[in-house]
Amino acid sequence: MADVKLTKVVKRYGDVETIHGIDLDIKDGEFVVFVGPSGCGKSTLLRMVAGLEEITEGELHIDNECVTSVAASRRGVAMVFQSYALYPHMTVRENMGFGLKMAKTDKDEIKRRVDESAKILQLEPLLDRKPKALSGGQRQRVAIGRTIVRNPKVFLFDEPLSNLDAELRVKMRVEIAKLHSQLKNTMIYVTHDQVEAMTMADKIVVLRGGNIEQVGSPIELYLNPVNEFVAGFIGSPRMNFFECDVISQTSSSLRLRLPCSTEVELDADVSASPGMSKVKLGIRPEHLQEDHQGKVKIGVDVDVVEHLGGATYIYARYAGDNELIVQAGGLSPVRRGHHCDISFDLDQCHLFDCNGLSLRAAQPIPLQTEVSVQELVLG
Amino acid sequence: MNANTSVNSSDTLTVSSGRPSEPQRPPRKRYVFLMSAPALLGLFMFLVLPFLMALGMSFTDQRLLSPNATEWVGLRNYDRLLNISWLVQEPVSDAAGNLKQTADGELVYPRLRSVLRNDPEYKDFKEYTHWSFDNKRVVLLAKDPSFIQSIINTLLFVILVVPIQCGTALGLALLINQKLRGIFLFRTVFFSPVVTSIVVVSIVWSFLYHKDLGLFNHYLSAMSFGLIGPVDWLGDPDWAMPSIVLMSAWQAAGVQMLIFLAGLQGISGDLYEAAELDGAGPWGKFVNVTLPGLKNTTIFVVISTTIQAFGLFTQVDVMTRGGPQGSTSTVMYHAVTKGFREQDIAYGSAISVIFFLAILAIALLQKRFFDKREDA
Ligand SMILES: Nc1ncnc2c1ncn2[C@@H]1O[C@H](COP(=O)(O)OP(=O)(O)OP(=O)(O)O)[C@@H](O)[C@H]1O
Ligand SMILES: [Mg+2]
Repeated sequence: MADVKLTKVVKRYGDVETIHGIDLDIKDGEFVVFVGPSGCGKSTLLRMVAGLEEITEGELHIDNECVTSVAASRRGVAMVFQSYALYPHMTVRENMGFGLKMAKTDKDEIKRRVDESAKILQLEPLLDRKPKALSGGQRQRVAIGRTIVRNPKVFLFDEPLSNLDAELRVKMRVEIAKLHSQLKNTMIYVTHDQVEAMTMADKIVVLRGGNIEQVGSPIELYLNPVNEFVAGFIGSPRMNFFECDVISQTSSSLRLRLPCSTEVELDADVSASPGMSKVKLGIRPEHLQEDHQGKVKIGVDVDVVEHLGGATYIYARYAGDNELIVQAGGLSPVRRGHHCDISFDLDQCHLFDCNGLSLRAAQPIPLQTEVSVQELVLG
Repeated sequence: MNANTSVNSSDTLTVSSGRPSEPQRPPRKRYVFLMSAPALLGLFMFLVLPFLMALGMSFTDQRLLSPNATEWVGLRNYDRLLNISWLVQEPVSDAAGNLKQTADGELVYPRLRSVLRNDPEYKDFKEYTHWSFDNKRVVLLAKDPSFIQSIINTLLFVILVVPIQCGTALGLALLINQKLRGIFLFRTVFFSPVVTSIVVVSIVWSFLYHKDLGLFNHYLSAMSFGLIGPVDWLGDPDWAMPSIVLMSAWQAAGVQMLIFLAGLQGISGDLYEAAELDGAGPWGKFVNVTLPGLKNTTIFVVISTTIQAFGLFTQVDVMTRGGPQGSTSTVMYHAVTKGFREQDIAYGSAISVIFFLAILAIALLQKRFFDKREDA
């Protein structure tokens, strides 16, 4: 068990810089998830922690020990690969014991530890099979078992579930979360699936283009995204954005004209940015209501309606070409081609300046989030 | 799917348009046969037919140019090839019962030639080799001793060249699989002997091996400060075959190198990284990731190299002509010598048939061996 500390970490391939000086503190026993769009450097960052990729500049500490130029096998980390990376000619037992065998551990000890972690992951009946005789989910369990056997300080996962089908992915997600609450090791988990990030993480690190955009708990990121990118990235379906003209501004409030010409007034922290002419208003689909309980009403034209049973997604156009997604109740009567009124509360709106930075004061995080999201997931 | 359907419909059309008597074959079969016909024809004309002709000829006394009519001779050619016998000789003793000895103190045995000539059972047999034991002399006889010698030479060549050539190829493949600048140049250089004519390579290496002028002897004597004297690489019966082995492995390893390279590039990089995290060093990775990953490639390379090695001919023909003292004559060389140079084409055919069967058997055995190991 150990903290991980990255200090001004930079990665360059020749002249191309892909990670631009990242500072990050990961506390002992935390489950940290790296998310971000494809190519943002999640894998690179993880692989630098693992020691598979050289750190061009900066320092890495694991357990208060500088391991920037320590070999991968001596860092006390273990990794689960997206492709599982099981040795095809070895049985499950040999695969799981390989790391210990390389470390010249005593045979009985290897057997004991393999049996132990096989029990945790219910792999006992599979121990004498070869990887090619396993299903995808079983292979991934073996790959996880292999890391447990070595009892590392830090577990690393690089998109471990993306080769699995949707149902299995949910199941394995829960299993990994369970494993974390059982082992309590530090874990770093890379994914581009934000549902995985929201449900598993103690702390989410949102990356874009080799920079950290925001670090925080899932609820924090959901309630108080610091910029437009994080706001759009966290939450599903995506947050709706539309541009509004600024009519007037004081140091703590803004008067705006919505695209449909309705005028509204919001609280905003705009003392640092006087004289704005346009801002972006963001509102999540689940905060748009098809009844009229919200304070602000807007009219939309419905393009597509998706009935998911428990919820209905309404894809609509608003005031010309602004596309809008509304998450309505499961039995919504709205049909394609309808024109209907949608309402929302200004409290739930996000506001971003022309650089995409948030203009609203952070909302308090409800106490309930002290109960970790994992426990909610696990029921 | 589409192709099938269209064939199907056109077939129905033909049937309905006035040839109802035509037997209705499954159209797919006909299609398959039609498509593979050119390849089958080529295979038949240039592989099956010549082999059958050789098989037929091996039961006759056909010569390349001969005024006499060809006759069936049954298994005579095979008898001449494969018949082996032996005899045990007592030392010659004088009237008093004392063993006769030469001036050097060696025992004297009856002259083999007269023994063989006088005994109809040993008609046509010649000495292949002999050894003494307990005052007696055992003589191994064969009707064609140089064929037996050729078989042994060929086996020796195969046993030496296959591990050397495959090992070299794997080593080179590992070297050129690195991501270094200019590695393409090395790939080209290592592959270049393969695209050079084996005749040219043989001639060049004959110079390199030359006793007085050759580069190898110069290097050897320079590096050992004159202690290792000039070796007559191709003229010494003990050195001639190893010399040809070395040169052949060097010349042909490029092909296997490329095959191994393809095999190496098929191994997932994740496996190496997993092994790295598991604490495996370079040797650990080689044994636990590279070798298992190259298993199928290795099977293919070993079998194909073995078969190729059995066909050794050109190097021998150019560099040593089977000499010195028959120490580099191979089965193929023997077949060509008998069949064409001595014009006994029937006998040459018999050698080829035996050779073909032997290679077939070895290839099947090797495959069985590797398949078994896969199950284990
Ligand atoms: N060997 C390399 N040479 C040059 N650039 C590289 C190399 N490897 C990765 N990159 C670049 O580094 C950036 C980050 O790559 P990385 O694999 O970390 O992305 P990622 O966030 O894991 O994306 P994904 O979600 O698609 O896996 C990419 O823009 C990629 O093009
Ligand atoms: Mg990645």
